[in-house]
Amino acid sequence: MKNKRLVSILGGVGLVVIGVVLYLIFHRPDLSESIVLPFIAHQKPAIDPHLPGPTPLSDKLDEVQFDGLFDLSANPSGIVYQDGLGELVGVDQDNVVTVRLKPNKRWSDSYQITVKDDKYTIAKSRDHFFSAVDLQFTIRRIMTLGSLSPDYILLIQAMESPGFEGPDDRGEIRFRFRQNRIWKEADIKESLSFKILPEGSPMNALNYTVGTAAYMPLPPKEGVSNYFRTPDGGAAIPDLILAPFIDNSTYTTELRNGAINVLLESPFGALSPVLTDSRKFFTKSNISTTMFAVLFNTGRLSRDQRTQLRRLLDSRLIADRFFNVGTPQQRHIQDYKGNRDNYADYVNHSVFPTSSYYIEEKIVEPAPARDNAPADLSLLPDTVRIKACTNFGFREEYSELADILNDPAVTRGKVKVTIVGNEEIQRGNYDAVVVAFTGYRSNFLFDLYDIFLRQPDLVTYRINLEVSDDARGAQTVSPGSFRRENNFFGLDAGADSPDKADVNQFLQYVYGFMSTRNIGDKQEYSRRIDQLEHGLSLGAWLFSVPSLAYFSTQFDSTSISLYGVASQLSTIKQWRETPDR
Amino acid sequence: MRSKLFLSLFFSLLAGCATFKELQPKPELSPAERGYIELRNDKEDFQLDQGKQYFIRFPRPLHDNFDIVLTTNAKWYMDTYLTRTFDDGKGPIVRIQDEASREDSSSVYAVDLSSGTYFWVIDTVRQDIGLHLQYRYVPRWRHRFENEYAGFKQTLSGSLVDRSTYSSSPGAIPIESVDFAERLGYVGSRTSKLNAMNEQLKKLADLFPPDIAAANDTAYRNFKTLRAAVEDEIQFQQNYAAALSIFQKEKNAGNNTGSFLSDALAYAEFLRQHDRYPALMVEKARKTIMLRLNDAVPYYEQQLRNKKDVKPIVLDPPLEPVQQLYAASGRGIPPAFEALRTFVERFNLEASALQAATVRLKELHALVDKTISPPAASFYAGIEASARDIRAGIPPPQAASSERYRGLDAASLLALELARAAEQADDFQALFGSGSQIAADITARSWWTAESKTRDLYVGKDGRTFASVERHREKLVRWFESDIFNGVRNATRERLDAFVKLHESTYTDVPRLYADSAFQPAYNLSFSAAGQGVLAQKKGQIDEYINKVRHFQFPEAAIRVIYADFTRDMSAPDGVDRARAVVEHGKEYKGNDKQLTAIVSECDPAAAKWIVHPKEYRRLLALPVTSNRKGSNDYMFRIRLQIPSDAQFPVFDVNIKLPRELAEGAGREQWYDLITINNTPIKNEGRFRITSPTSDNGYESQITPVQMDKEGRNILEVRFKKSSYRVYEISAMAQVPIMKKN
Repeated sequence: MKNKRLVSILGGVGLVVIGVVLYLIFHRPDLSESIVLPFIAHQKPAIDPHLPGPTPLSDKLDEVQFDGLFDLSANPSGIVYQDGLGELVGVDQDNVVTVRLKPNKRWSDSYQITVKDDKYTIAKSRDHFFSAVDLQFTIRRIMTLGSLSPDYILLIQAMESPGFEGPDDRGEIRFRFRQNRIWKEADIKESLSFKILPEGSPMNALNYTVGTAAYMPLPPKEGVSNYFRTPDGGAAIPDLILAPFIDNSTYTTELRNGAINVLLESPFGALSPVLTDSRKFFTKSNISTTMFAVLFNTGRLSRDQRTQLRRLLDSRLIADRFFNVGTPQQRHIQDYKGNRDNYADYVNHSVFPTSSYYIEEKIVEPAPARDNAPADLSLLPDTVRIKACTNFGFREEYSELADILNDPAVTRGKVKVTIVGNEEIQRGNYDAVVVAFTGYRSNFLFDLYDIFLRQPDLVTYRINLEVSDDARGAQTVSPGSFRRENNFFGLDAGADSPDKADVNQFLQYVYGFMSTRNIGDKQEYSRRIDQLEHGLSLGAWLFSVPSLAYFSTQFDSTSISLYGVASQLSTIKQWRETPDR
Repeated sequence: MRSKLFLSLFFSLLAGCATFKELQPKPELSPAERGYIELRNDKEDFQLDQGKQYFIRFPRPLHDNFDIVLTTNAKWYMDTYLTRTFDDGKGPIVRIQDEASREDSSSVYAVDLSSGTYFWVIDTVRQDIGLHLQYRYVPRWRHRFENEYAGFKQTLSGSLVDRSTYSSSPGAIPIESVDFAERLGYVGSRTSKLNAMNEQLKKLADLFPPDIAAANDTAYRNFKTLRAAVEDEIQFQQNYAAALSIFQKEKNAGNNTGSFLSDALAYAEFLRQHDRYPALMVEKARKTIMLRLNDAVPYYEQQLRNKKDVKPIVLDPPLEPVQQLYAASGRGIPPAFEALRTFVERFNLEASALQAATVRLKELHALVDKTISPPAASFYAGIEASARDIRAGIPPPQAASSERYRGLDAASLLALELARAAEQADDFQALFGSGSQIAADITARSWWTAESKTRDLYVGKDGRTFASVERHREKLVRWFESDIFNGVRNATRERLDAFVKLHESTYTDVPRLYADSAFQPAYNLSFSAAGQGVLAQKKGQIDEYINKVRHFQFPEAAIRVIYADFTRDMSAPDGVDRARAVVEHGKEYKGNDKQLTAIVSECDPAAAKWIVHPKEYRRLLALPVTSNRKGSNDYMFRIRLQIPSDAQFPVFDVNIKLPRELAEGAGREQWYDLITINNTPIKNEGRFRITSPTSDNGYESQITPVQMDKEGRNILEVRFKKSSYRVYEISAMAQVPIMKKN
């Protein structure tokens, strides 16, 4: 009797297991012919091809949607430029660059998309071809954006007066490049790789949707568009789907479960223990693009206090704790050079990350060499109140950091980290705030606006740069760019404070750094910024996290090139599925 | 007919124009010896007009040595001459001497058979005269003798000397009592006259025709009688004078034995020719001479005692005439004189030998002394042979053993000097014998043997000290050291130079070339009389040359040759080998030729190629660093950025233009394995950017940004694989970069 009962129980359990397995099999999403990327549901990508985006994904999607005259791509040997909306005819001895425009390129609004039962139908609409006026408009917009746009730097370093002549009857236009160098093909195409918007687009919009590239956005659902390859775009994989999730903590699981097939940034930048099956997943390492910092509120903490707080926050110790170094739960990392668990390489000692050009080439000397004195805790408030918001990405990382900083073993009981909502951040109600800076470039164009001029609002990405013309007609930064409420640091160039002169100077340096087209100036500004920032003690630049992307072996790994500062999706058109899957 | 008449007239005219008119005697002139014959013109004398010129043909004589004698009363009115050839006064005229030119009425011309005709030319007629002329053909001897005979006889009679003393005639003055000087002068003057006359007679005798003796010619008979008398008187006077001279010498010598002996030869000669003189006078002379000879040996021995040197004995007067005098006297040589002669002869033999040996030894010394640099090998053999010859020429010192003369200082000294000379010769022979062997060893390049023997020579092996030629021994040691050193050095050089010449174009296994024994000394020197310091110095000189060749000449020559071959076709199958050979040579090269250094650097993939100017391409070579000739190889090239810049942190783009063969597959597969800057890998995944070479960009890859440390080495290294084994030409350029968004 007992045996019958036992058999019945076991049979029941077996049926349940089989049922679950069958459920998983038949309900596993079919991601074939799709690229599925996760994003934080309440951090909707905002696409502006000329400005840094609020989320890492935003900038990457620029490449998906827009063409330049020339588009960045890659092959196994490195960067290549493909013809976008132009074809390089040549450069003469006077550095006049001739480009033949491609008038047959259609803007994506040449197609009409209808949705029915989650099925998309693409039909031809009125042709909207690319023309020189679109290019003219785009250049005008970039020049208007000025130093806010990296494209501005590219244009002004290439041309005295960015613009072109033509087109002639062959559809060729001519750019008069500067005479100061031999303009190689790569340099010309890089300078002309800014993404082109159609004439008539708004000068300032939250999202730009009409492009000419391989993918065009589908009608948005809940404010976010998926993408479908344009009929003449040439992409190998038809669908690019953005899959919303609450936070990034489940990304690896979702990838393992097949809900997504591409994870461009793994949590903590670490190798995932659930994605170790190389038959199912492969990785692509890249240079860091995300760093964590504790930004000090200059309205709450004096310079001395900030100095002591910076000394208190031991970046190396915090990084080791962050990656659980030496514990069974150690988060292993691997960089693009093949190094493993090289955590020290990610510890930052300056606003310029260790991986950046400015530190790596010793343009800026790392801070520890000049300040390794112990913190004088007596100068600090009883409790330094640090805030962090976990709702806009990096939930796991912020939580981990909060735990670490709250550990008396790390901050000697002087720090209290609280997870707060965005409102607290907006109000500046903190002694310091933990912020993750994403998508930074480690090349010359490291973005200081993103750090110092960003509105302390994790919902809306805004750079508060105010410029005006000086007496000579040259553009200069206005003190209004630093107001207490419009940056994470509470920096206020107009407020009377002991730091006022330094703060104004600092603003000048930041602007100078961001707006110059001269590398030498860039280097000098970087040193001055680093030194002055060190004096002002504006933050503790904790560490960067590795950039590690996971891909399902659904994709042919050889078709995916993720090269350095190039956008990860710049080669998306070339991605192919593995043939025998 | 008319023409004939014209010609006759013409020639008559011509004849009438001759300068000299020929006189044609009738009867014709006869050459027969017939006394004087009148020269007639049809029984008349020829009439000569003042101012006119004439000539007469005379036939040649019947025999040689004839005179034509012409007598005329008109000689004073004419200028005449006889000649063998005559053409109306034209051309050169050789006048035959008129032997009677001083006479007013005759002329004598010597004629012979060599001319067929003689021309007597009347060159000048001072007034109109009739030519009354006699001519005579007469043998010359007769003509002369007839003219001189009376004078001859008178001379003879006036030159005769009284013979009584000479003949010791009773009552005559004994010869020893004669005033020799006066008498010799008296006799001598007469003998001179007779000799002069006799000479004239001899000349006449030469003119005699061969058959004169058979002819019963009176003049000839007179000639013979006269000449016999003359010769007899001359003979007598000479003998008499000789005897007078002997007695005069003996008398003049007085008590001076030396003076007497100095005329020994004359005495001996007199006694040897005793048959010429009267026996009584000869005997008288012999007795006188032999008496004086008793003083000869003592006289000479005194000279020997006075001699204190080893030069040959030079007795005064010499012994030989005295010896001859003894012989001529017929009494034999006395034993004492013989002992003296034997001693002197032996002494002089030894002394001469010593002198010769001494001279030759001095010459050897001088020869060695004046030879200041190491000589040829034959020098030693030559001196050894000379020394041997000198030694053979040094006799044993027997003179000093003479029983009679052993106590003489000169004899003892001579013995001593002979022994010294012998020792020197022996030392020379031994020293230079060894030297000859060493020289032969050196010539044969038997360095070890030569050096060992030189060491033996220096340390005096077998106890031989070479004391008498000590300074030469030291010199020889120095020479041989020098020769061995020079020989080893030259042999090293020759071997090395030949090796270099042979291998300057060799491009395989170059390290083996430098490991060759040619780069070692031909012999490792181990000895120097001057000590270890000098030895080390010499070895250092050889090593210096080797090093010079090893580190300068050989790599210089080889690099140029191999590089020239290399650049003719870099892509040739052996291009890599040549480039590597250049590099291997470059490792040895220590010169400062910038061109060579640049060549080596160009061929050395490990040597970074400097880029010192922005915006300028420079060529560089990519070479395999592995050696798989039929498969895939690893390649490498390096660039060193050292561009002057005002910037504190200069940064550059590096643009590398690749050959199509390397880059055309870059789109399918990464064309490089590794790119590093200062050994740090550059990866596209990082902050660097490497553009792919494509046909669109002319297969040019851009690497940026490359930071240049102004004080340091900025080495950009590129490694790639390629299934080839060859050299690729690449261009590189750097310039200030632009900032790039991507």
